[in-house]
Amino acid sequence: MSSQSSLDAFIAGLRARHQPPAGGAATPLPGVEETATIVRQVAADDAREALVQRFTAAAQRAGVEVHPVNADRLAEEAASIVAKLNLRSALLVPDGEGMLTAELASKVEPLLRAVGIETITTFDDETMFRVDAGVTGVQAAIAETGTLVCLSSADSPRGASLIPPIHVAVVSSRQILADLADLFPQLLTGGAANNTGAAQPALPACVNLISAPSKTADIEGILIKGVHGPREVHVLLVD
Amino acid sequence: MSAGKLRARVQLAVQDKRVVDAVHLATLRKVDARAAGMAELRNHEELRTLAEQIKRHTLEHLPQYLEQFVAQARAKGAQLHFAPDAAAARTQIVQLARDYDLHLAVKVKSMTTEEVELNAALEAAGLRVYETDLGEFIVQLDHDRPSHIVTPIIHKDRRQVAAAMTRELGVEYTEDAETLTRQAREFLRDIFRRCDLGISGANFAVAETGTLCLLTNEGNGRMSTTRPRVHIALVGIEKLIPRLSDLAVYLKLLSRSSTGQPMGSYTTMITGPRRAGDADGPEHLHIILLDNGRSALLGTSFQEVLHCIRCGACLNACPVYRNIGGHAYNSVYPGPIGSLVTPLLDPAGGHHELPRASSLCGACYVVCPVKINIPELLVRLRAVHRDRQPWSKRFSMRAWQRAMLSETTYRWGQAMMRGMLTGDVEGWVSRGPGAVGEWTSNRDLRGPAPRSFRQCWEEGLKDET
Repeated sequence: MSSQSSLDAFIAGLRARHQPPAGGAATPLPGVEETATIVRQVAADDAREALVQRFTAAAQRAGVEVHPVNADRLAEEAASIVAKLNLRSALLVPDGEGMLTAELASKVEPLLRAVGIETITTFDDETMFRVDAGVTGVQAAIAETGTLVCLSSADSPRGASLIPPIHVAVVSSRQILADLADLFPQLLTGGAANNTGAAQPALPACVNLISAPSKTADIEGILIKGVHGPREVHVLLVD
Repeated sequence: MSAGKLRARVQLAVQDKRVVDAVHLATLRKVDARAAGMAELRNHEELRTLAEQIKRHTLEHLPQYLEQFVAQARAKGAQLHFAPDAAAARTQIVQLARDYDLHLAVKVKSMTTEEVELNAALEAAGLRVYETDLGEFIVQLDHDRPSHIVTPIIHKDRRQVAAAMTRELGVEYTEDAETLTRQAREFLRDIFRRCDLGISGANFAVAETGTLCLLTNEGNGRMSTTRPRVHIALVGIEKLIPRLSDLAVYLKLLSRSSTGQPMGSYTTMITGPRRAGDADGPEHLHIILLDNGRSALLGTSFQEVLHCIRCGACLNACPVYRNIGGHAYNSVYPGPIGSLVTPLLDPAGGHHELPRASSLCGACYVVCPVKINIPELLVRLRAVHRDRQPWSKRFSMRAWQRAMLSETTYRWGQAMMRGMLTGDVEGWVSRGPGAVGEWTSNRDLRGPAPRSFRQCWEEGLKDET
């Protein structure tokens, strides 16, 4: 039996043997809105300043470093913060969706090179495993838990926020959603426009919610960072 | 299957003071962490109720949601398979490895792959297989078994970890946890670079979009499902949830229940293999839906064990687990949920004693994020297996039942007890006869009162009221 037909046969068999309980005995599925209302911990209409504070507190508590950055001096401040991270090399991954646009990358690169940091924008294996830091944009951020939302795409390799030991994420305060409940409608429909005004694509092959550096407490309960993913996560939070 | 094997394993386990102390410390820490984490939610009881409701609804309509999941996942480029049992799962995965000519496999921590005993089958087929979760990696190096479903080496200390690492990897001996972790990282990083097969389970499978959701803290889940060209996910059929937005309910409960964190480091949602033009990701995604005894529970009073989201909170809360550790259960799933799941999924496997490894205190039920009524189900499952109790116990329970149903034998029994259980000067019985002796072997029993309530009643109490 082919795998498809054995799966279909199994489901058909289950269907024949298990009818859902009749009428009142069946367990209803609460609607999407009702579920979201129960799930929500942070109000959607919280002022942007409150969301920024909430995001910052939650991220820092999880071990993520948050650096406020002035939008008017973005390239200079970004370069300055990255320069202090003790890097010899950085992979810059500009994509069409987030704050790390090609334009910003082109401004930041010479500033980093000027302080001796090798900047690379090609993401082959050798580079990914060699560089000290991956610098990426994000598709969204979540205030409730200090979470970064990264979507896979042609320009955005999953590995950029995973393989180098340091991850630097450039995030606009406008990208901060209040609560995890606000993320899913956006993921399904492509949702709100991003910074460049382009509509975001619907659910890609891989979505990563990043809430902390890589960590483990497997050995005697001792907390250790940087197991297989980055040991440091830095958010450049642009106002 | 003689009675008493569990007892023998338990007696062995409690003698290892180092392990008992380690498990005590670790589980109590997690109990506190969980309580603090849940307290931060404004409405955690409401969320638990919702989590239970969604799972219950999904299982009632499982064929429909399975069908939707399969259609959606296929539409996004995944290939779907069905494994009726463990042997089928092993066969299918080995066959896929051969079809794609794969040689180096990395595994994310997955209870289903342990349940079907996958690693040995892949190794027999000529693949090298590496566990990548740090705890599971060390279990593998040390030819050991995990003892907790979330933190597999809760029973090991750093000396044992160091010994295993030096012996198997040839690295310099160190007991420093940071260095040990770095040694494992460097070794596995090289494997991640070269691997061609990644094997995972899934925490949730979303019917609406055909999405698999994996929760990890270390990054090995992401590495294993990004680096290799083939990703195989072995997913129990009970992992289905209806909608992408329902994930929010479980994401808010799972990490808090497990370790107290608001969210784990990484929540990875995978929908199909890489898309055309994607920068990285596996070329092929194969999802194998696993039955292995799960569908037999649908429509029975045990159906709700399929709600389990494998958070481990019940293990951490359980006073029995805390004192005997995971190995004494001798099953892939230890602790309260394991005492249900293992005998239910594998009724002929000799696990019928496990439901007795409980004092029915109910701590597990209080902490379960999906409100599985573990104590009630343990009692039901004990009844299912009552014919396997020793003859002496069945006889004495039957005798007790007869005595309780007849007023005369009840009175006789009372009088006999009063005669046999003579207490010390304060009325405590520290050594009882026969079956009572087992109870009093580590507790004192309050002795019976000199006159029973019935006697007082007949001798004048009833006139006073």
